Amino acid sequence: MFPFNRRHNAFPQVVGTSILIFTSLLLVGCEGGSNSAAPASVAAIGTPGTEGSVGERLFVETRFAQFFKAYLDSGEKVNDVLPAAIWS
Amino acid sequence: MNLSETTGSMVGLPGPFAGLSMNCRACHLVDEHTATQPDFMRTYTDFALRSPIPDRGDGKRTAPRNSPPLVIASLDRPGGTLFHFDGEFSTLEDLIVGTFTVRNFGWLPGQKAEAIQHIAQVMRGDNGKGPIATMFDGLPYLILFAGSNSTNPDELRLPSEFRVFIGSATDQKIFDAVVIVVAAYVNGLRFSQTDDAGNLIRSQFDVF
Repeated sequence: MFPFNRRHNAFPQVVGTSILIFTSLLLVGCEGGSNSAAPASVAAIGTPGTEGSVGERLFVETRFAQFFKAYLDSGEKVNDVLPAAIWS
Repeated sequence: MNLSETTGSMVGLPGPFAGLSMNCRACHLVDEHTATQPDFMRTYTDFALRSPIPDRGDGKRTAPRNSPPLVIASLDRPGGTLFHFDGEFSTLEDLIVGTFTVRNFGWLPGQKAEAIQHIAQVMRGDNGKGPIATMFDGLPYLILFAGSNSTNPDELRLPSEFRVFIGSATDQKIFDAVVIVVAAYVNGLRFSQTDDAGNLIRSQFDVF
């Protein structure tokens, strides 16, 4: 038979130990926050869905065309904006 | 690319990228003209009978067809996907390669290698401060595609399978990375399935 009363005695100790471990981890986590380093898992595997937003930028990228190549061949740089550009 | 052509060659509405060179969105339009024409919302298609292409002095000013809608274009289908009305491409990646490197973007036959080299050059040299980049994240492609760079906010960390080290990769590797990321974007173009409250807003045919 499981000694029911021992469970009551053990529970506060387990909880107390857990709180101690959790607090320690929290403090360690806060200490590392000043480096602004992303969690290793996110840095390593990335954020799902990001490819959609980067892909949208490439979808509207205007410099992949041959016209822009000709512009570069005339001595301009990749980040130079075509002189006729109209942006509101 | 100063016009979104409608009823004929060189007839249309002011183009959203007037003064700039060709991009995908110049023909795969969405809400560019709804400010002046409320019913001109598009699902990544255009208004033209045949989509305009850049002038290369060879007399060709349009593609053989217009730009097909892209929303739900890449849904799986029995027997596989086919793109363009004549089934020109069987994969989205092939379609993107066959758009970035051909006449649609001003490249003549035989210039595919030059196109790939040029696209890689733009990717390497981009500083993230151009008019397009600042509409988005404002980061150089080199940093965006590295993914793990410490200056990347978490929401802009590309999943590892899309990453490439632009600084050291070959032209072809960089181009391939561009293609699969654009494909991922187009694959994600879907009609909404629910409203803001979570209620289904599908077609009435879905009831049956």
